[in-house]
Amino acid sequence: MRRWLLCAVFLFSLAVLLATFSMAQTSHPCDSTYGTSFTITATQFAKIKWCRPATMVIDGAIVNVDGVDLQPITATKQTPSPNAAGEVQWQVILLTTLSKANHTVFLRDYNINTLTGVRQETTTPAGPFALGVVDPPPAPPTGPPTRVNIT
Amino acid sequence: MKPTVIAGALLLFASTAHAQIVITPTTAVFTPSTDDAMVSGYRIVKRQIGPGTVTLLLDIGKPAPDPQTGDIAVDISAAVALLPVGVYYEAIVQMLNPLGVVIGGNSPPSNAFTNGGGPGPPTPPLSGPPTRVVITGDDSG
Repeated sequence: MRRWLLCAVFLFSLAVLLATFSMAQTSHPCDSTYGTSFTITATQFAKIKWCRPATMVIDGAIVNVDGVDLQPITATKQTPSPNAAGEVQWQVILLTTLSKANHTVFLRDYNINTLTGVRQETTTPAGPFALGVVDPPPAPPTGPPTRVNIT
Repeated sequence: MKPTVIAGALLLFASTAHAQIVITPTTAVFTPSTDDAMVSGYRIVKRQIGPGTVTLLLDIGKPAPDPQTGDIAVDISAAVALLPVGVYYEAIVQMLNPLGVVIGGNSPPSNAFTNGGGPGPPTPPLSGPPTRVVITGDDSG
């Protein structure tokens, strides 16, 4: 009887350990695949994320919308550690809303040469990406109907 | 009269200097002796802060002083680059007679300086396009 009890406790502990381990294994965003078509609402800023080998120095990105380069934006690293392939995710946020339309977007990241101060853009942009900017969904009702009469 | 070391001038690292410590100085500037006519040359020696042993940094001959300031400026970047990184020194100027013998005593010491190891290698340029691009809406807008 006592042996069965010990065995049950052991199995329960093992199950708890495995569950904890599996919960800790969150997927890395650079392991995901993404399409080339995205949609945001007209009230939102466009948030652009991309992946690069962790060995590369990234300082910012230039977003091209419909053939026009926007101002360079400083990039922030989104993942403190790389995935198994050695990639980390970076992000820029366009601090301007885009008009309600279908836009074509390219992305060029860059770094600043610490020796010369010169901005070094990647020669090969990512894109094109289709970005649809649409109306925001109507706000949901916030309170119950009032003055209900049944006749 | 003793020469006076007035600065370890620098170009690149002024903003990162700790108080009066100059990181990787490029130039030493000093006021020559009033007995400059009797001097055959100047020598810059260094003294490690702490242990205090004086050793040669650079024999500079007898450069002409700046006609406007009267100071002598010497490029010491090559000599500083040979120093071990992270060791702190102060510089002293000595006067030499024609036989190369130190005469007249030492200048007061300069501000502290150290070889910071240089500006490091240039940032490598990026190659290839960004990958796994995703665009989402940010609601802070």
